[in-house]
Amino acid sequence: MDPELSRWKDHLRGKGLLPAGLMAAMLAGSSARGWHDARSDFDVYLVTERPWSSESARAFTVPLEHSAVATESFYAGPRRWELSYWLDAQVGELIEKVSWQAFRGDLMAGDVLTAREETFLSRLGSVLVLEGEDWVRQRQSELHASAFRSFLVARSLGFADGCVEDALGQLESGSAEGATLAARQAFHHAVDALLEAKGEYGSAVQKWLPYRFKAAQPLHISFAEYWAVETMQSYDPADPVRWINEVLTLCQDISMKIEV
Amino acid sequence: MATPPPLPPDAVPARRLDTRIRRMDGQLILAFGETALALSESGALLYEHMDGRRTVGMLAAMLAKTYGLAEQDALADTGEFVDSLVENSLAEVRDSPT
Repeated sequence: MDPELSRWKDHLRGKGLLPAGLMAAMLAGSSARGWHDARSDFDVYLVTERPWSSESARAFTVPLEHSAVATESFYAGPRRWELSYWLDAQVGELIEKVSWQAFRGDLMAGDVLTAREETFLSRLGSVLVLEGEDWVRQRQSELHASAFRSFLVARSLGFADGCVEDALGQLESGSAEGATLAARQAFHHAVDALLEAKGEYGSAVQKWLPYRFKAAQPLHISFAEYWAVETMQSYDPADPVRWINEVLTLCQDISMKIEV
Repeated sequence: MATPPPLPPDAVPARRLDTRIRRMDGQLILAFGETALALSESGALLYEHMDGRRTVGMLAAMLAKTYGLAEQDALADTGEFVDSLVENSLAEVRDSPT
């Protein structure tokens, strides 16, 4: 094991935060991907068969058979650590929620998963394993085989469509400003769909979009092209309609390339 | 009902920006309102290249080259395809390129 990961694991053990019967422990989020900065939290997911409890533990609820996910948090120096204790059964339920049968039942991602559930699944593919390599690889494989990717792609494309309609409606009513903002949102959603199609999830946190883009390396649009639109480099306040139409056309081009 | 005249080769078809597009199981599906249209492989090729700058003639030449069609047949097929899109509010035809 990487010495730093081993050190982190020992640190958690030293604080009495690794439960007996631990099935897996994973560093997740930006710190797992090397995207973190000096102010970033360290997020750790732990998986057990039995619920975690302690005097310091708190919990959030999830719409699962066992409805609580215990959490612990502490500061190590300036860094905040956030630990979430998921049950193995809960993870199984999450993956079942995004089955192909569920997808074909015409459900939207937002109707199937809560934000925290989606975040957990979104991060599962890019964790750094502290414990339980076999468990993690098995669940990653199950997630990959599920319809999770398709759920997210379909949702992002749907959001993009809605923003395109907003932009066109704003143009028709004479509001170039409103149309500009709607076109920007449409573009973000279209790019999210493009990245999700390549297994790069995490659309809820926009600051990671450039990182996700570079990680995904999509074929249909270069980073330079994406960044030019993101920073509105060709936007002319005297002729905003041109930029708006170009961006909406680009959103359409992206939609044509992505398999849902 | 009278058959509409064929589209002239210099007509410029363009995708409507309010068309919803999905690619599922390798097939391109277009939708507007309650209308949905699944495109054939050749239809998808034409649609992807309808950028508001290419004329019907240019699109037909591409179709002819790709599928080994006679020029006139490709022109007729392209015109028919564009007409069907326009009829379903999935495309528009401009007099000149944008």
